[in-house]
Amino acid sequence: MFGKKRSWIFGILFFLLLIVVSVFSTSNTPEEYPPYLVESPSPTGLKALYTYLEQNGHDVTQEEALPTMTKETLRVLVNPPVFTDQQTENHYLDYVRQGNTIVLAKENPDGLFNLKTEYALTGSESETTEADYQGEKLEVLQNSFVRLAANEDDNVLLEDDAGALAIERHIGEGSLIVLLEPTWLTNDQITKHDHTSAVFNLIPFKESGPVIFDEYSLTKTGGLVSHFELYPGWAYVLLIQGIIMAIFILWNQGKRFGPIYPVREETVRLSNERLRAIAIWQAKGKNYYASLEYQLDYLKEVIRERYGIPYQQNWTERLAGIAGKTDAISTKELDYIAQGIETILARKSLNKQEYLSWSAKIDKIREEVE
Amino acid sequence: MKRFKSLWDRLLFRDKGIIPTYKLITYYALFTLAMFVLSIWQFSWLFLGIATLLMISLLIIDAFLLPKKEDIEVARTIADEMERYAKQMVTIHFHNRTNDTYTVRLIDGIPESFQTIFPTNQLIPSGKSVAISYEIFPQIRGKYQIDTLYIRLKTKMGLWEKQITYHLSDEVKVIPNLSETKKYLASAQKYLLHEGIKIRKVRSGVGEFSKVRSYVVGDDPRKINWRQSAKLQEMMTNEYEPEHGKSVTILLDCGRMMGVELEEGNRLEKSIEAAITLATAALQNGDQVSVIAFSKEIKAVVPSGKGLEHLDTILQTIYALEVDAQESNYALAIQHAQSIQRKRSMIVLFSDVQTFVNEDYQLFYMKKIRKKHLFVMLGIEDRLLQAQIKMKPEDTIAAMEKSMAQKQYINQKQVMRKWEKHGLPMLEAPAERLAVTSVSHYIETLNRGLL
Repeated sequence: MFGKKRSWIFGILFFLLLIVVSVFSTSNTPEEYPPYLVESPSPTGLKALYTYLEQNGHDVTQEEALPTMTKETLRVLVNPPVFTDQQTENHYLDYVRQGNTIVLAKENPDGLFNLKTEYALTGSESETTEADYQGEKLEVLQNSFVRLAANEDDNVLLEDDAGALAIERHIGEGSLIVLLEPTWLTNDQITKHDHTSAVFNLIPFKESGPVIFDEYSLTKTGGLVSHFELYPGWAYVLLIQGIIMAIFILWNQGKRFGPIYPVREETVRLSNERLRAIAIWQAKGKNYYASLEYQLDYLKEVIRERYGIPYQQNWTERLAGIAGKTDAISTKELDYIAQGIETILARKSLNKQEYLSWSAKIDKIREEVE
Repeated sequence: MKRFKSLWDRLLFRDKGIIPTYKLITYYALFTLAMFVLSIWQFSWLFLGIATLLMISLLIIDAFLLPKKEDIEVARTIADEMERYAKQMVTIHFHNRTNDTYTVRLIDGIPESFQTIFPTNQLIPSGKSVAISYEIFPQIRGKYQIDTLYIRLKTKMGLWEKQITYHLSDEVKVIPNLSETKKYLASAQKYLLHEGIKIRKVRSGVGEFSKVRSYVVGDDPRKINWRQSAKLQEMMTNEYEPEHGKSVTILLDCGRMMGVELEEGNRLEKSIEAAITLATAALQNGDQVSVIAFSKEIKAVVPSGKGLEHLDTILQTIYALEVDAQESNYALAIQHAQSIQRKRSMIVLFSDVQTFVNEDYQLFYMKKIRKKHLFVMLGIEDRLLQAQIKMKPEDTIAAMEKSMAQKQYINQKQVMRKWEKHGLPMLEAPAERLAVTSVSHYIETLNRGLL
């Protein structure tokens, strides 16, 4: 019996070991890269362009922070998310005004840096389009369904039949170059079609100083950040362990121990229910005189039982009969009470205050007699 | 679907299963705290995952050490018959067939009216048998089926508890409290001591001849048995005692007014106890006893019988009587009593005086029955009425209630006097003295040779 249990335990330990080993062994599988990362050798990465520039004597760097206010740098933003924070955008704009150049490659940059786009009716169903770069025909891939809406001051760099594919806009001392197709820059596409010449014609690598690939918006903010890295570590610990703890607590509380008892019907009845009902009814009807009569009848009976004073005597005689036999009430007081009772009995009516005060007096005598 | 739902309900929430204990939750909370503190410096999903899995697996090991249902044998010992308001022990026998010691707590499927506290944290050592008892205090009469026994076992580590249910069928009858009856049977004379009545032979020469004994000074010389004195050369005297073989009919009212709560149980409860004591006294005296319980209809009938064995028949018939929320039909009960009791008998009605005070109608039937039988009505004194009579008249309602109570009391007295005039005595006794009053009235009746 026990041996069987022990084998169970070993089984579990083995299983655990298996999990640990498998976790470590599977960590060698190809890493997943988000698209448009400079280090990414995957088809969606930008490693090819980056290395090419690096090997050809350009001063290329990558940054994951907001730009500092230098001059004459070329900053490449590939597919950044639309900035939710106005401050970030203003920071970039200030950076351009300082005399720097920003290259923005995004499929639909509408809303970024005050750019506008419009839907393009591309008649052809082919993947590629023929774009015109200063009279030169380039065959390039088209993914975007929009075209840039150029202002009068904007310098249209590249356009096809549907509209502008790339423009240059001067802001302050610097300029903003907008490109609609970030895919041309990727490892997979840069050498295909006429992308190479398009990219190198559009982006002034040669003329500019240091080239900076901006990954601030790719890593730090926006939808590209993994859900598993969004919050500080302790929050995840609390979340995961909290869920497990909650399961344990619910499990512990949820299991019924013992039988289910149906709710017991209330059956307690008291013997004074009828009396109470009558009393309330009488009080509403203000039948004070009748009530006082009942109290006097009872008192009569009690005095008869105790002192043998017969019923036919009136109250003056009766109370005179018990005078001197009680301690708490003096003879004078008894005489006064007797007269009061006689008056009320003759009048046959009394108000609430009289009723209460006489009830108290009668009760006092009753207590004394009993 | 419904079947699945009930199965789900049973397994997940009621029947067998494994439950994490508070100890486990505490341990896990400590682990969570440790992980939390660590994560402030360093956090890794891999570490978190492995550590959590490891912790859970460690905790789960204990769950595999719990026994199976077959490993623990359980039996229940409970009395078939128990008296109301008499404490009783119920014993659960455990036999542990495994090599481990377990801690057990249990909840038995006894009715709610059996007040109890179930034992917790009882050890059942490996390979041994243990009896665990708990005390029950039955509150309500009746016949009950007891079936399921729920137990929860845990190992020494106590991280998990296993709930197992056993189906052990038992039938339990809660009969009226017989302490009054037992007191009477132990010593009738002592039982009636406070009433001041002796079971004695009052009128000389009245009743049945009982025995011959030696003459002592003070005996009636008219009762000297001369023949025996001559034979034995010693003065002998005859002794007589009240006649045997009379009939007593007990009528038990189970109507609305009998449901009134007293300090301990309700009026019916006390009436049943008194009725059984009276039946015991009568049966022991050699009389015949029949019982009719009624409310709107006849609820139970025990035809007349003799001997103390008949008491058991009575008990088995009336032990489960309950109060009905209806007015009692006295006419029907009395008619029935007359139809089953042709001989002259003493009819004792356990009821409430109030009902008769407010209605004159009943008197008509009672007067008719008076012609043939000896009738007495026994009621329980209303303590609440007495309290209300003595209440301070502090406000109008209180004063009104007080005056109404006083009026009712006076009325009641008058009606009781009126009935007595018709030869229908009505007795009122405090709840705890009802049995004594009924028995003493019965003995008095016999002593006076009224029956």
